[in-house]
Amino acid sequence: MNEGRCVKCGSCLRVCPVLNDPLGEQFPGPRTTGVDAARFLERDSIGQNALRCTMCHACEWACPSGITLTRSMLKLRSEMSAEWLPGHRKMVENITSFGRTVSTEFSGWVENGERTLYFPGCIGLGRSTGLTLSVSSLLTSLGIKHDISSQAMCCGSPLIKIGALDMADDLRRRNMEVFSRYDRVITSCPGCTYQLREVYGIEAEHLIEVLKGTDLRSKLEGRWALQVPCHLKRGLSPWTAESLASILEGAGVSIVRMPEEDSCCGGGGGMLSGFPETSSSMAGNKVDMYRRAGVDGVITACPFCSLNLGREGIKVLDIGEVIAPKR
Amino acid sequence: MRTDVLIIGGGATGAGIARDLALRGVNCLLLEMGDFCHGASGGNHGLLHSGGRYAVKDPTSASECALENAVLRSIAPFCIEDTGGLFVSLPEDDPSFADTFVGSCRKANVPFEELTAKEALRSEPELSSRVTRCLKVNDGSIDPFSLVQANVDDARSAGAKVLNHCAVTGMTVENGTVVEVEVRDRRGGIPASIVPEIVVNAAGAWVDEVAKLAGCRVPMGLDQGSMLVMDGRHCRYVVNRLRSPSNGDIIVPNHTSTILGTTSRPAGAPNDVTVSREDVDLLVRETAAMMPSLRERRTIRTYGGVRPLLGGGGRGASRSFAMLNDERVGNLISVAGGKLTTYRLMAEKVSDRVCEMLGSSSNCRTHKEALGPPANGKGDSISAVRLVRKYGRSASSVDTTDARVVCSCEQVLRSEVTAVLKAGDALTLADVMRRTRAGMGYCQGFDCALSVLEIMMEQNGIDPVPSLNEFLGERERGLEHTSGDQLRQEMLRRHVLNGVYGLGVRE
Repeated sequence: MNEGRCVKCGSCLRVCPVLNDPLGEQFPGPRTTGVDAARFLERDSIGQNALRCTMCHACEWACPSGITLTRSMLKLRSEMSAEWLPGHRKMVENITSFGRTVSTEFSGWVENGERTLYFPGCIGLGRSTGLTLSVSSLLTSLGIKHDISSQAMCCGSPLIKIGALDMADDLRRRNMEVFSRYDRVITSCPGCTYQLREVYGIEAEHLIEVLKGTDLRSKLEGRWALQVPCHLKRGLSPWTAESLASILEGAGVSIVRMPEEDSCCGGGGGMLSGFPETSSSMAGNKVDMYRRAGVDGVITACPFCSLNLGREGIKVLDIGEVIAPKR
Repeated sequence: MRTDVLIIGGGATGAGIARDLALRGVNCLLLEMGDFCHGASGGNHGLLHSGGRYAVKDPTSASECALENAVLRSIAPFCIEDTGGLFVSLPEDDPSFADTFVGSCRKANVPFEELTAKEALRSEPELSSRVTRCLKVNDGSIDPFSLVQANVDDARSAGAKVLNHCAVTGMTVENGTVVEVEVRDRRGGIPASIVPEIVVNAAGAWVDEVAKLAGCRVPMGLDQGSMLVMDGRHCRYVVNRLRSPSNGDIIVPNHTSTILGTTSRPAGAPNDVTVSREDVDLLVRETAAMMPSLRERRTIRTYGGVRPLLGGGGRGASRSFAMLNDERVGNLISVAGGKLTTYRLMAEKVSDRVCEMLGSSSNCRTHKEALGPPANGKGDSISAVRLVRKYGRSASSVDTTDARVVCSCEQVLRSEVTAVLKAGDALTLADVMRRTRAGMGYCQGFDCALSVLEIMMEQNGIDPVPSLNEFLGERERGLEHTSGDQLRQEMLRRHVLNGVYGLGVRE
């Protein structure tokens, strides 16, 4: 790791959305968890507050010395001895008993032996089943025949966030067997996409990458703001994130761009299950900001963002739900 | 104000003498012009010598080191890390030196053990694979600040008066006796005039300047040595070069860093500690011959110290010590030479002489009575051990219920700073740093200085901007020699300091 490059300029602290939240003061901060912890022998006793991070990568992006803070924090999470938080324990129990972080509500499995797999992820199969159906029919209307496999399990990203590396690796092995039957994997969750690319080493595509360059039309009226997902912009690439806006604008959706659109909503990194009150506070601040801008709602491309912002009482839609192919 | 013994100089020797005399029940006063350890006691490697380095050329010093090494390990275990030491030779070194070394260690009673090159690499993986021969000795790393502070604390609790920031500015000699000493007191605590029975001049590199105040001279060689602090610990052992003592021979792991040293050149004055670019290059080159990965590490600071050596100076000069008693001034004893490792022995010899002059028959107890507990008490957390390493017995005075950290490099608690300020000796940011290590880490005070300053302003009311500039200017010494990737990082640091905080360091 490259923590030794830190000169304590403070750039990471200034951009940290958790530290900037009123409920965030218990988080020791990215420098403590990403730089200092790696240097001290007592790192394993750092305590649960070190988990108060959404893994939004903003610190890593801001670091002028190029320190891989996120990787360092994940390493810390795998070494620390603090007990799991209740929400994290529940998640592990769920994965142990049925392979996904939340109970599966989805029933529209498609297992026709197609060459393409649509991988909606745990939230898509458990909480946002409507989104999954919309994405599936959008793919079909674009001529992309696909399976939705009941055998594909959690991608393992949430387990890595709580340091359960062995369990995550077990899931990876099981999923790879499923993936080996397909030529192409399409996702609608940037967290899953990032995990499949970085950890599995397969070229999974996020829905946005599939939609880019196709002729689309808007199904929406009104003015909409964006919630640019952290793992889309800072995980996959800023150009992929920019496609979110260009696809929507190209389809005729009226988009209001805001400087804060890419700041974290508080839903990632295990925060939503571990510290729901902080997730809610962070989402609440973003929602206030959207309301001040006077938009009709927010469009995003991440089920976690949809879920977390939606709970604060603003209309949140996924890109998969708001566009259709041009007739 | 009168005192039986006035000790001038608050380095290891002076503090050791104050403790020794106080434990013997002698009334004494110690005055230090700056902060404790501000001379060579703070400007050294932090190496607890096994004696190996002096075995060949200076067997007396070697035996003294070997004996005192064992004594210090038993009386001051909290401030010593039992790293052990390795002496390694490389193909280009004279192979016969290693044989001479072995014989000399035996003669001087310096314990050692021979390792095969393979064993050496196994115990110290960063060593160069070119190592041909390796001897293991009892070196250790020692925290001089913590050692001296423990001596000061112990001297005080035995009844001595010990004051830093009090400079001796003049002496009145009548009939071959110092009858009065003038003092400039920066902290407030004593009158401007002291009437001593005996004056002990333990001013280290300043010993001649102090002697001059009484019209005497102490012939000293002043010799500058440079050291480089590298970020992180890169070896388990103290690593020494197995060759005739030369420049860039020693690597000491200490706290969160690794210290490379040293060099040797004549110093123009006691405070002539400037480190040249040549020294920096030389230290990296020579130590990297033993541990190649050192080339990749980040230099966080350079510092120098001035060795007060008996006789001439330089590599050939003895590291032993002497007591000088000028017949023209009967009650002035000057102590010269010596090493940090042998400070207690020097203090014992000087205290014996002082007691003889006072007609007291009490014996030395400093080799038997502990200065503090061992640092690694059973069941203690790592952070508790860290406090004992720094504060010895006083560790319990730190309020550990307040978990706020002011210096993240060294994990210094806010309450450590408060405790140190309450004790009253710390007047500057550097004083706080010497006691807490806040500012000694890889950012060199860049991050913690503001927090420490804030606490100091509340408690002492110091002038913030000049204090900060003075401190940070001092801490960034040596960074002007950096290049490449690190230079880019240092420019960034400078930008934050000037652009974000609006501070000018060495404009």
